[in-house]
Parts: sequence; C-alpha cells; structure tokens
Amino acid sequence: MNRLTNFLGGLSLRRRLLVAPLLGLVLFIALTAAFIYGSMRQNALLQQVSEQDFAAYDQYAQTIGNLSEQHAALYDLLQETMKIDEEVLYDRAKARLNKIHLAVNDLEKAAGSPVPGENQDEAALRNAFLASTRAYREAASSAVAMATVNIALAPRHIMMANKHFTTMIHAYRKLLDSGRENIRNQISSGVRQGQATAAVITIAGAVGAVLLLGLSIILSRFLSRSLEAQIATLTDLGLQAGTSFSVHGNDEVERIANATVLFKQSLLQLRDKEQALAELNKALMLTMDDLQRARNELEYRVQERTQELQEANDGFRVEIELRKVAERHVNIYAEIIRSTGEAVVITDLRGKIIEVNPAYEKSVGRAHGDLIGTSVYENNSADSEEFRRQLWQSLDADGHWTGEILTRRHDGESFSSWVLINAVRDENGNPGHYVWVSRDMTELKKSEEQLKRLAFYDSMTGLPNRALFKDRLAGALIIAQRQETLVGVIYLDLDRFKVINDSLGHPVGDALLQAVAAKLKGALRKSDTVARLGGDEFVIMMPTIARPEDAATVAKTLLAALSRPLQVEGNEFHVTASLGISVYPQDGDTHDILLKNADAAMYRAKEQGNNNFQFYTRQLGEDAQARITLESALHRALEQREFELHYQPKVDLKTGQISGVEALIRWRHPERGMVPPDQFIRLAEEIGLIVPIGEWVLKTACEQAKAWHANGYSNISMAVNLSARQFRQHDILGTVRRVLADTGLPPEYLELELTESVFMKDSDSVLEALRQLKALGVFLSLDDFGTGYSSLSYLRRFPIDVVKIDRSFTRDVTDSDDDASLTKAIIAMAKSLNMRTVAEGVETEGQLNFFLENRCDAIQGYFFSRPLPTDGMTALLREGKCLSVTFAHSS
Amino acid sequence: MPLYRNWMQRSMVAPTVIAIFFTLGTINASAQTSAVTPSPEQRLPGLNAVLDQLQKGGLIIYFRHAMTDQNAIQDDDADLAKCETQRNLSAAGREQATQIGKAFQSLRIPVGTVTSSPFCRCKDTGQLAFGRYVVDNNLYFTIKADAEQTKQFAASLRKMLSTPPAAGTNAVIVSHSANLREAAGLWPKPEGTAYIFRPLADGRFDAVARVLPEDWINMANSKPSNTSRQ
Repeated sequence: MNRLTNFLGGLSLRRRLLVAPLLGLVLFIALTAAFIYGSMRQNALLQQVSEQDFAAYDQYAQTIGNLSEQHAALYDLLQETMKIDEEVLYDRAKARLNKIHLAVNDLEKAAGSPVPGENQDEAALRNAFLASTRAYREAASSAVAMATVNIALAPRHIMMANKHFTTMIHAYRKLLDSGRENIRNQISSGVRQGQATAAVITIAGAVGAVLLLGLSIILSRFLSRSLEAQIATLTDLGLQAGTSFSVHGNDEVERIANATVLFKQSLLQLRDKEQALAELNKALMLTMDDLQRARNELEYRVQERTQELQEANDGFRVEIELRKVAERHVNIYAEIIRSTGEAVVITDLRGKIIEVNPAYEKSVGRAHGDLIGTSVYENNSADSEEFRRQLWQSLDADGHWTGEILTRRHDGESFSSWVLINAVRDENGNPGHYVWVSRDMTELKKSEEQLKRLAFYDSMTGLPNRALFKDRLAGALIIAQRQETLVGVIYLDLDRFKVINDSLGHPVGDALLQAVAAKLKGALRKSDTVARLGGDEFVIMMPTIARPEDAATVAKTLLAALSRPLQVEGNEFHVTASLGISVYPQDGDTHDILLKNADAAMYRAKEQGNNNFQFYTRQLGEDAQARITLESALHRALEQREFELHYQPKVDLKTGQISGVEALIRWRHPERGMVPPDQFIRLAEEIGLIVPIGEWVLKTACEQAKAWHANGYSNISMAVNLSARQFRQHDILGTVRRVLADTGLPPEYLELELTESVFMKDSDSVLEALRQLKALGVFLSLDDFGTGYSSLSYLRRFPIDVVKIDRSFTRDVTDSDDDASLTKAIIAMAKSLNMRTVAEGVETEGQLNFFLENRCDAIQGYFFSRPLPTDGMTALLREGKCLSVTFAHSS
Repeated sequence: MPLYRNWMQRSMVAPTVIAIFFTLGTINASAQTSAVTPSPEQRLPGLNAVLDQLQKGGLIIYFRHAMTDQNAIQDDDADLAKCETQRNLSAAGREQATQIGKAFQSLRIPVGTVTSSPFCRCKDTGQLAFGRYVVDNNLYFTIKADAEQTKQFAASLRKMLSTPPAAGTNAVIVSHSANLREAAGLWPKPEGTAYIFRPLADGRFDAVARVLPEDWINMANSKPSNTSRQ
C-alpha cells in the first residue's frame, strides 16, 4: 500500500488523472474479449452437434437402410432358388452383393477413421458396428457362394446371413444409443462451460470496478491534498503580509482563485502602506518578487489543470464509442440465437414464455404472438401430469434439466424432442429465467422404428411377415428338437375373401384384414406367433405343444373367434376361414415342409366346405402332388384335343331297336393312355375346368347326333351327363340353348342326365332352372337312381322324364330277392308318375329278362354293347343291330 | 467306319463353331456390363471334338476346381493362408483331380503353365492333377469381391484366355464357377467341369468345348495310351 502511495505520489498530476480511465478501458476490453470468446465457443458447439454428429448418424442410418433393402432382396432371391438356375441366381445375387460391398466400403470411408473427440468406448462401438457390417458382407457372400454350389444348402446359409444381419442391427442400435448419450453430454457440458465463463466475466467485472473505485478515491485525495496545500500556503503568505482572510469556495480551484483575489486585495492594501513604508520596503521588495513568482506559478498550474480536464473529457467520449461496439456484439449474439436450428425458448420461473426463436415457432407451428405469455410446457405438451410435475420439481431444485419431452404441435400432434433447460441467474445468483433449448427427435425415432419394422413386419396389419415367421419357426424347431416337444403350424385362409374384395373394394378388404389380424392376435397366447403371408393368408405357429390335439384346440379357438360378426367401415361381416394343421416332427422337420403341408391340409379343409380345420397326413401330400400333375395335364388336354366321346347305345325294350345313346367322355392321355372319367371329372369340377369341358361334350354330342340324323338314323336321341357343379357354377340354360341353336339339333332329341346331388342344394333355384330347361323342350333324366338319398320327393317335385336304375341294382336283380323287389317297386313307381325307366349296366341275359318281364322301358349295358367310339357306333347303327324282345311278348 | 465318323465330326463341328463365334462376340461385349445372355454351353461340343488340337497344344483349359465337401464348413471366415478355414476338396474330389491328371498323361495332352486361384481347393486340384501350380490373385473368387475388383478380375481372366500358351503346350487355369461367368458368361457346372478356349488376336477368344470331369477319364479308358494320332 505504501509502495502504491509512493508510486502515485511520484506521478505528475496529469498522469494521475489519466490512471483511472486507462485502467477502466483495459478492464472493459478484457471483459468484452472474454464475452465474445465465450459466445463463439457456444456457437461452435452448436455447430458441431448439429452438423458433424448428426451427419455421421444420418450416414449410418442410410447404410443400414441400404443393407436392409439388399438383404431383403437377397433373402427373397435365395428363397426362390429352387426355381432358377445357378448362373441366373449368381447374376442376380451378385448385383446385390456388389451393392452390399459398396455400402460397406462407403461406411468404412465415412466411419473408418476415429471421430474427433470420441472416447474409447465410442470408438469400440463404432468399430464393432463396422466389423458387424463386414461380417454380414462375408456371410451374405458365403450364402450366395454355397447356394450356387448346392442349392439345397441355401436355406441353412441364408439363416447364417440372417444371424449376421441381426447382429449388425444390434451393433447399430448400440452405436445409436451411445451417440445419443454422447450428444446429450456434449451439449450439457457446453452449456455448463458457458455458464462458468459468464460467471467469471461477471466476477472479474465486479472486482475490477471495485478496484477502480478505490483507485479513484486515492487519486482524488492526492489531488485535493496538493491543492489544499497551495491554499494553505497562500493564506499563510497573506498572514505573513499582515492580512488575515478566510477563503470561500466550493472546490479547490475556486478556492485557489478566491484566495488569489483576496491575496491581490491584501497586496493593494500593502501598496497603500508601501508609500508610508517606502523607506522600509527595500527588504520587503525581495518578498514581493517571491510572491510575484508564486502567483505566476499558480496561474500556470490553473491553466495546466484546465487542459487536463479537457483530456479527461476526450477519454469519456472514447468510452462511449467502446460501449457502442459492445452493444453491437450483443446484437450479434442475439442474431445467432435467432437463426440457429435449435428451438430456443426463454421463460420466467413459472414457465411463461418471454421470448422464442423462429426455430421454436416453426417446430410447434404457432406464431410468435400466440406463444408469448403462454405456458411453455403445460400448454404445449402431451406428457403426463406426473412427468411434468417431476420435471418442474427437478428444475426448481437443480436449476437445470435434460431429457426427452413430448411437445404438441398446433394441430394437436405430438412429437418427441430432446430438451436442455437451464436457469439464468441474476447478479445475486437467484434464478430469474429459464432457457429451453430443444431439438425435434421425430425423424431420428421414425427412422429407427422404420428400420426395425421394414424387414420383418407386414405393413398393412403390423403382423410379422413371412421372413420373420420363418425365422421364428426355425428357432422354435431347434428348441423343440432339443426338448423333444412338438410345434404346431396352422395355415389359415379366409373363405370367399375375394368376393368381399371384388364387391366392396380393396379399402374395405384391407380394413377387414386388419380387423381379422387383430382378432387372431387376440385369440392366441403370447408365445404363439401369427403372421400374414400376403392376401388373405395367415399362418400361426404354436411352439412347444405337447400333443397334436393342442393344435386342434387352438384351431377351434380361432374359428370361434372369427365366428363373431366383425364391424368394418359400416358393414357387418360374418367371416369364416379354412385351417390346415401340420405338426413337427410328424409332418415335416423344416419350416418349408411344415408350411407346405399345412397349406395342403388347408386345401382339404376348403374341400370339406369351408369353416373347418384339417390335419395334414402323408397321403394328403402325395395326393396333392398327383393332383398338381393331373391339373396341369387337364389344362393341356382341352387345348390339345385329348378328349373324345364314346357312345353307349340304349335299347328300347318294346321294339328291340336302338333308341338313343349316352355320350361318355374319354381322355386319351399321351402317356397314360385312356383315363376313365372318375379319375379326372372330380378334379375338373374343383378347378372350374368342368365348365369348358362340359360345354365341349355338349356341343360335340349334339353335332354327332345331328350327323346321325342326317345319315338317316333320325330317331336317335343323345343323352349327355351334367354334373352338380356344372349345374350350379354356370349358366347352363344359356349354354344348352346356344348349342341347340348352333348345331340345329331338335331339343326333343337331347336328354340331360342329372345326378341326385343336383337336387340336394338350393332346391328352389334348381327347380327354376330345371323348369326353364324343360321349357326348351329337352328331356331330363335322373342318373344313378337308388344310390344316393333316393328321396321320392325329388321325383315328385322336379320335372323329371326318365329314371335311370343304377347298375348296382341291376347286378343283383337275379341273385337277391330284396334287390329284385326294390327294382320292381322303382319301375312301378316311375310308371305311376308317368316317367320312363332305363336300366343301366345290363350284362347278362338273365338281367335282360328281368327287365323285360317287369316292363322296364329301355336298357343299356355290355350285354348289348359296350361304349363305342364314333366309328364303331356308326357301324353298329349301319348294321341295324337289335335285340330280340320275344321274351316279353311271349310272357 | 472311321471315314464315316470323321465326316460326322466335321459336319457337326463346323456349324457349331460358327454359331459359338457369334455368340461369344455378344458375350464379350455384354460381359463388360455384366448383363449376360443365356449360356450357350448346351451347344458346345465335348472332348471328342478338340482332342486332336489338345494333343498339338495351343489351347487354354479352364477348370472349375474338383468336387468339394459342401457340408463340412462355413465359407464366410475363409482365410487364404489357412486351408482349414476354407471349403476344401472332398475325398471324391481329390480322387477326381488325380484321375483327370492320369487321363491327361494317357491321352498325351501336353500341359504348360498351371495357374490357380489362391483358394486351397483350386491349388489342390492343380497339384493333384498336374503336380504344380502358380497362384494368381486375380483368380480370387468373385463372389467375395466387390464390383470394382470383380471387373478387374474379369478383365484379367479375359486377358489370360486370349493369351496363347507356349508352343506345343496347353495352358491350364484352375478357378471358380463365378469367375468364368464374369469373364465369358459361362457357368461351369458341376464342379470339376472344364471349358476349353482358343486364344484369338486382339484380346478375343473362342470357347471350343465343354468337358465334364468324367469325360477325360472315360476317353482315356476308351483309347489305349499307345494309340497314335490319326
């Protein structure tokens, strides 16, 4: 302190006056520099977080997206391997592999070198992610390589590639989590640093100001002290001149001036005395000179001080300029906040918004004016009350909070954002405001969700897709093999879904599928998996069941769940489904075989008339194979004209002459030779081919009948079989009418043979159709009478002209009394109803005699002639073969 | 009878070779863009057609390595330095390679350079059949290479196929199925299958025959080793 006083004492007055402004200037510059430095650091942090870090994650996400796409394509491709050649498989897979290579190479370029500022753990995660993508690339290459060597190995290797793909997704998720944590830490440490810098600047400013104040006090004291000394000297001089006066004035300078004036007056008094004392004054002259000199000195000093004040004034002007510069810096800082991509909100302590930046306005979609004064969180958030309460509690206690909140947009939609809240404290350290800095995380979350669902879920119903299902089933099979338990697979197909889709449109169909999906999911245990394979096909897996019957129980539950009506888009639907069950290990030990067999079982359920379930059996699988072969052959048969008609004559038992023929279809298969109708008609009915085949038969038969008529055999009638399916599926009336018109055959020469099954379904519409056929003029006969229900009511209700007695009766009429009497009864009854009777399958003379005796109208069978090809039949007609019917006449 | 057979061979070979010449023109052009037309292997003649030429030398024989053990190992960690990490020749494959080598001797087919892929199954095939090999890394399995490398490998293999071997010898290349697909649009199937090429000027080549592994052996058995040339 002494040293400082000495130092200041050694300075001239001019310099002393300059010390305080100079130090003030230095302090101001230092504080401004520190402030700018701090704001630049904050800015750099925001920049780094928003550009570099997020850019890296964007790159990872893009790579993963790309690899997912390639993987899905590769997966599909390898699933298809059974159908394509190795080289075509290679060409297609290679294109995918090249893209995988490219994606991994790009990722290595982007993420292969250390990221600035990352720690060891992050580097390890990043490298693990990189390594997992490389491993996946190798696994994918290997899967393709093995598939091209031996296609049978493809499923096993695509499983390995799948495993590596999953590992890669896991590594990516870990990296993402760590990255998110890292960004969070970076931002909060940056904010904390900013706060510390601000505190240091404030404290330094305060300390500097206090020091300056002290220094100014010391300096002013020094200054006034030297001036007081002057005044004292002057007064002293006045006293010595013999004048005593008191000096008045507000400040030192004025007092010096007053003292000088008073002193001048005393000098004038002295001059008066001078005359008197002239003689005595010689000695005093010396003192006068001294005084003169002192006065000069004083005047000089006054002038000097005036100049110094002028200089101090200039110093203030400089300070004002500097303050303006500082203000400009503050404006720049405000502009940074205004233009940053982060949403920034300043609130009071209760969360009322005081200021927001445009990024925040944009993110919530509200105007600046609407936001000011509202509550930042309560008005604009979808978080629970409890969550909000905890946030405020923690914020009030700690002065800061970091985390994820749900912010509500103006349209009510919520989005997730990452927010940092910090209190801004006043000079006393009390929080005065809160600053909320937030970033919209919607895109990040969405891409993460999307990624997960992309590869493994059906986008319409949200159920697992085929790929995920196969994965899970494969996993369940491994467990079941180890634990020696069973795994059930149910293949479920909605009945008549196509009708709904076609009649009400796809949007309704889709909504219905979603409702069905929800229902299925609700009806199953948690451990079961239901997946959608596409269309209206669903598949269910039950891991570790104890008995195959357990699968049946589940199937029953599903049927029951579906049986309740569904309300979809204002329509009420009664949905039924057909289910097929296969069980590991008895029905197959790979997922492909189990699925295929469950599918086959489902088809059998459909055959059984929908809304039921069936188990798979080995026989069923073989049947299915044979069916598929036969089916394609049937399609070809029609095109290649492999069908032909044979004709079996009917003989009138009154005349013994041929009265007509029954047209019978034969299939001349190029490899299997003649295929009898019972081996293909049923299949043709199921696949709908019966309609074109039936039409061909009708047309060919009518043309042939017309040809015989033209050759003089004009009484020949033609009988053609109509199956029940053909009758229902098709506009049979229109077909018959058209064929008759085209061929020119008079309708009374056409006889349509129907089986009982025609009458058993929907009898009103059948009745109507039969009446219309009858109205055309054709004859109707009831085939195979006696084998089915043989309800007499058919005969009464329907307009039947002819009853054909089944060959099983004919066979036994001569051996069994029961059959003989039944047959007699049928003939008698038919006669009483005005119907003709024809006995089928007559092979012996005994049988012929029986029917002659009982006045049956006609017979057909080997006894007279087996079915003949067209030429044979024409020859038979030409030779005029007839039957001796004398027995009847003689008896 | 021999007259009849010669006439048969000539009349069959001439149109086939012309047909292949045209097809290969297309393949050379399209292989650059890796869009490959359906393989013409069904139209290529067998060993019979080229045996004479092979005995004179001047052709290039591309072997796909002999039969491998497909179930024993995963292929994805393959380390070129360690055979045990790779898919290797099965016992049958080793026997196959040895028998092919014996057939070459008995058929008096002169073999010059034997160039092999760095994979052990190829090196072993070369060693067992011909007692020697030189590794060329450009024969690396293209399924495991990226697009850039694949292109480079294909170009290199095309160059090998168009480079005439030393006078009086045939050059042997042992590599993989996919590599030939990339270079010439051909897919050697099954393992051990060979394609025989004739190098032409200007970096071009003709595929002249496709030989199944058992064809060498059957031919050697049907012709006693002391049969002189016709």
